[in-house]
Amino acid sequence: MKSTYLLPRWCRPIGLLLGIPGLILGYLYSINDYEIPGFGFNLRKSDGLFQQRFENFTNELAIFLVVIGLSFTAFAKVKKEDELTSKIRLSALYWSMFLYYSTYLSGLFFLVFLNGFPSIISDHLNELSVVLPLLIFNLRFYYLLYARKDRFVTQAPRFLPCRPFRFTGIICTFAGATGIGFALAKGILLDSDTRWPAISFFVFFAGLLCWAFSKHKTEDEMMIQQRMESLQLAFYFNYLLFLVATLSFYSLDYLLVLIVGQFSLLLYFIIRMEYVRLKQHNISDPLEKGMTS
Amino acid sequence: MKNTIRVQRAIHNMTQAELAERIQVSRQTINTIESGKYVPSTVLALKIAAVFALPVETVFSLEDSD
Repeated sequence: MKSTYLLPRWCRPIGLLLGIPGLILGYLYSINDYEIPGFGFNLRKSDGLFQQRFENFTNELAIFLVVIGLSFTAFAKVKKEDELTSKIRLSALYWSMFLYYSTYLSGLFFLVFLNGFPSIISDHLNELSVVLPLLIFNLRFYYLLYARKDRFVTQAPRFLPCRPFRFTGIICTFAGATGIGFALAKGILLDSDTRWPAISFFVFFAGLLCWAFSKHKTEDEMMIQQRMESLQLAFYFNYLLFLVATLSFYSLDYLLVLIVGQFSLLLYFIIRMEYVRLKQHNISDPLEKGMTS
Repeated sequence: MKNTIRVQRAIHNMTQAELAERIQVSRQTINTIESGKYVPSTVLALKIAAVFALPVETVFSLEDSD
């Protein structure tokens, strides 16, 4: 297996130079409400209820530094990049995404059904959902590489069994999406008095998670490799789109971007994976055709 | 899948680092393959066998559990 879609080695030190200040700035902005004085410009003609005339870009800067920095450190080639380091990277990505999204789903369960969520987390949920997947991925990757001096730590990725998770996942995704669609049409998606939109979101998210991380009917080596590559590409696409959205949307619109950002990676991953599967299914070999007809 | 890389290295008086250098991978990768924790791709398996000038099935063989 060749290492594909990776960044050159020099991106790693640059990633560290960007990522660490970004994490510090993000922490100061989120916890201490720190804003770089004068770092912004007058975006609107007058102050609104939620939208002020002067828009400070400290949080956008922190997001840019963290996302680019941590992506660089994870996806830059290591000193001696070979098929195993590449495999370890993708396995770490898969593991960290599963861990992050499972934790997120548990949090969502508490929020939707038990209304009990520590404010220290819920107040910073949006920031955490940007930073945590990248951070967990980096920690896992470098742990697998350097935990042992003599050899790499390897662990084959684990999947949920095809039955019942895959089928249940697909049903829940579409059922949840229908619920969200209805809530959007009625304009009550963020209405705190109505409970079913939040339940729909939970069902949708749980469905996506089961669909993305469950085996196909026959999961062989090639499929696992395609699955990993799909996740890598979905990761790039998701964060690239997120950075563009960070530049293009502000205030309440940006809040919507952050909400979509909670599940967009899983969505892109599933789309890419199913597309590859369908494409292969439709490839017909003339020799095979001749044999079966 | 089991392998005889360690034995072949001893026969050819070759260190892990030297073998790694010959096939352009890291020393840790060779160690991970030798300890049976990682099954290499066909390309890498063929490269390793070529270094020892042996057929690939002499260096790598299936186990009952495979």
